[in-house]
Amino acid sequence: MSNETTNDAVLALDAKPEKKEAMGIFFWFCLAWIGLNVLVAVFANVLPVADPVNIDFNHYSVLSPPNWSHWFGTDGNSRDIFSRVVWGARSSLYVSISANLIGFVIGGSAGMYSAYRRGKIDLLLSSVSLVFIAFPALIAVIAVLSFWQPGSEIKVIIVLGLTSIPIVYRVIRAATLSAANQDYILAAKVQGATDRRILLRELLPNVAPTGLSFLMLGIASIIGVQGTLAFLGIQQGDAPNWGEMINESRSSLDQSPWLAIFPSIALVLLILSLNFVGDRFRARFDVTEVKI
Amino acid sequence: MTKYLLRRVAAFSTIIVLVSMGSFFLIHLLPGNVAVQIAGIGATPEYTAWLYKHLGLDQPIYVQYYHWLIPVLHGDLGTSPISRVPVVSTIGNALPIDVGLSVMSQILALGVAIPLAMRSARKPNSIFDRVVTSSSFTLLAVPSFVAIVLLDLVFVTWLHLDLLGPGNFNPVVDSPWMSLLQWRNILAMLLGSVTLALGSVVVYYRVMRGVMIGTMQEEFVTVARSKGISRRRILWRHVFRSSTIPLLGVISISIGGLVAGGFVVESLLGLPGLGLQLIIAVTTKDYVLVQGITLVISVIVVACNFFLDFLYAFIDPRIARE
Repeated sequence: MSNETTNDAVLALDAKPEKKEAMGIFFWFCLAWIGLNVLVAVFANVLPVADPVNIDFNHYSVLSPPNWSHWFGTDGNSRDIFSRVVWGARSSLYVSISANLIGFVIGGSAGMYSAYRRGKIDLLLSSVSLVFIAFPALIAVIAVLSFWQPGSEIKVIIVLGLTSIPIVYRVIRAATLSAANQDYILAAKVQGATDRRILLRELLPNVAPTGLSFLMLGIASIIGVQGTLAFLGIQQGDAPNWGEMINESRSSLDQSPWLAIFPSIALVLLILSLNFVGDRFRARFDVTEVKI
Repeated sequence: MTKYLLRRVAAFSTIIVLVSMGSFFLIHLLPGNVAVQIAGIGATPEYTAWLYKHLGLDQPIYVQYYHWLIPVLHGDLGTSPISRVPVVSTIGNALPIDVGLSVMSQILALGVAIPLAMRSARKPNSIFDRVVTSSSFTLLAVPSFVAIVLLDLVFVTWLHLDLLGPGNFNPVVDSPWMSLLQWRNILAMLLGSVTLALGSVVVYYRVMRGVMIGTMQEEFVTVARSKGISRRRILWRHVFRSSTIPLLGVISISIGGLVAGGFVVESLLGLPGLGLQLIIAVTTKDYVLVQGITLVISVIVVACNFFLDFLYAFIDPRIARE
């Protein structure tokens, strides 16, 4: 993803490992916010919120501003915005976590393997990944999804997951390379450890922190991309989605700005928290450059 | 240097070939019949079958690719089966808008990012630096579709600056580049270029700040200071100049963001650029236009990246030697 590379390159600038210091109150706030979003996403269907999709004809109130019964107001179909924002967390997290899982399982294992093995396979995979990174991914995503209709969540997950593979590959490969040159890997080899054991027991634990921080940034960036797709009407479906809500709000911005404001705040806060936590993780666990 | 250039050109040609295949095969390998989608829901089977043959979709895929590629090499991207307009002329009319948006946004972004970065780098960790750096972190979390809707809400809906709002762009017939020179059109593109600039400002500010703080610790800066050169002069002549090189490397990163943001701002503001044309082509199932636009945008992005690579290696020859 182009977004992913941008964020990554920019955030990398802050990654100067400092001496161990407290994570800071803002870090815990961000972590709590992510936790809250995950909880709400998992339990959206059992939470005592209004129906996000179907219209409640008993309490019909179109475009009512925020009030005590509808905290975030209602939309043009009399649906409760608070409930739709809560359900939107489910859609965003479901799509972005699943897409990243595809990227990390395929790209991550390929990256570790080629960094450990080097040689021809590394050369081949690395050149292929560079070609794919040069291609503007969002164009490919839009072109594919437009002719693979209807653009349901599962298709978005597959396409975004596949497009994230080359970048995950490169990050994990770089992280593995620096770990693979350490003496303990040599020691394990001398002791006769199998490749499988070295990859899983020696390298994986050392690559995992970098992977985890990059996963946070990856989830954040896919949330943004999925929002863009929904905003452009390329991802469709019944499930409420922040991007789609912001898109729908455009027709009545003058009368009902809350339709745009609440999903925007939810989206930005979640992306911000993920970026911040991922960045802090990286600063804390990045032992590759300065500390060694 | 020559060897480096040759290697880059070889890589560039390979990527362009792969991009052309990508633009073509992406759509053709997908499940579902393009003819059925173009014909629409109420079409008779006979019509769909005729359309299928007429569009050449019954031929093997590599034959179709060949029939598409040869005219493409001569600058003919085909004719849209929906609107019957040559793809090249649609793209020719749309491209100036994207160029205009990108240029405006980059001028804005550099104009804001460089002074802020210099101010921050002069006293790292000062209140000014902290405020700007953390705001830039926050800005990084705002996707362009959120930014444009909020800008639209504030400036058009609340402040009633209607000329900035959607639908004010009037292309000049027959000379699309001329439309960029009209005040009305520049105003219509303003919110869009601000949105695109927001994404780039963050990148440029953070890179410039980081690099300049690093440069300030170099020995030649200490020497310059011990000679009694004023802070201001050191900042401009010694630190700023050498810090602009890494900036080139980042501009290529932000091109990807410009493309993505372009779709969003064009579709919201009704600017008839490539992004909006692609969205229209997608909704009307105009696969010939989708292929053409995909190819053109990809080639432009790849070419820009390679051009910046060249420039980078030209200014800093150490890169070519690696």
